Amino acid sequence: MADEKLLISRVLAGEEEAFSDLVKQYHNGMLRVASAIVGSADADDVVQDAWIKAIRALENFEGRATLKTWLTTIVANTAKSHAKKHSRWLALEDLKSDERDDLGLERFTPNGHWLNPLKVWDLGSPEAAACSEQMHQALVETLETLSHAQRMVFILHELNGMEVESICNILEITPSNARVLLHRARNKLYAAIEAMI
Amino acid sequence: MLPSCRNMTELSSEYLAGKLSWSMRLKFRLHLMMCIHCRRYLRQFQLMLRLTPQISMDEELEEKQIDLIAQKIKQARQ
Ligand SMILES: [Zn+2]
Repeated sequence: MADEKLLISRVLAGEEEAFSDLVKQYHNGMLRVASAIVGSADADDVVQDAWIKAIRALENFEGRATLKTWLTTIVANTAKSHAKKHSRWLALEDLKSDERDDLGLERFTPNGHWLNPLKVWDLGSPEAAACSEQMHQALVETLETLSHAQRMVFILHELNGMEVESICNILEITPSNARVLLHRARNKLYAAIEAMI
Repeated sequence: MLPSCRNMTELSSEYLAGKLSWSMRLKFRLHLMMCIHCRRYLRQFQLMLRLTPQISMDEELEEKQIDLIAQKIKQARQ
């Protein structure tokens, strides 16, 4: 937080390098959110718009959220407006689907017991596991297989650290819907990691 | 009635977020106490939650790209 404050004051003072530091630190995370909402073709434009909005509002940043969360909110709202303007704001149709929230039907007996014992993960530390090229690849691929709505919620919450309550406002869904989407995404990621073990 | 193992995998996020009702939370815990498989699932589920944020899907930005974006932002400030 102290680093953030310092970075912000350097930007506000117009220090040349501060702008690069800001971009280095946050641009990719913003791009990730924009891509999840509007698709990768329009993501660059959306992020650029978001940066301009953010930089003009930076004086008003009060530090109640982290800078990352604040920027995520701005880029997500910018992406939403963009999608709406181009009539591409999807109703989150998969909320109506009958997909279940569990780990996968084939794992359970008809009365809901585990069919086979769960595999034990031997990952070492999460930090080490995350560094593995294979794991990285598998998770990125799994993210692509999520529904649009699941991916948006997962990225906003799990990767960009946004609270479920804020996500609801952006995506215009109820908290319980957001949690369902998040949970379905998590169980798919769980299955993907397990498949690699 | 206690939740089934299958139900346990439906409720894990709500449990971890502290969103289950008091009585459901109690049932969830009772099931955990009795079921080694669900304990394992929950432990690994939590491990996954710690792992995923560290996966960044991004390529490293090139120096040139950073400068370009930084310049644009700087102009917006002036
Ligand atoms: Zn169980």
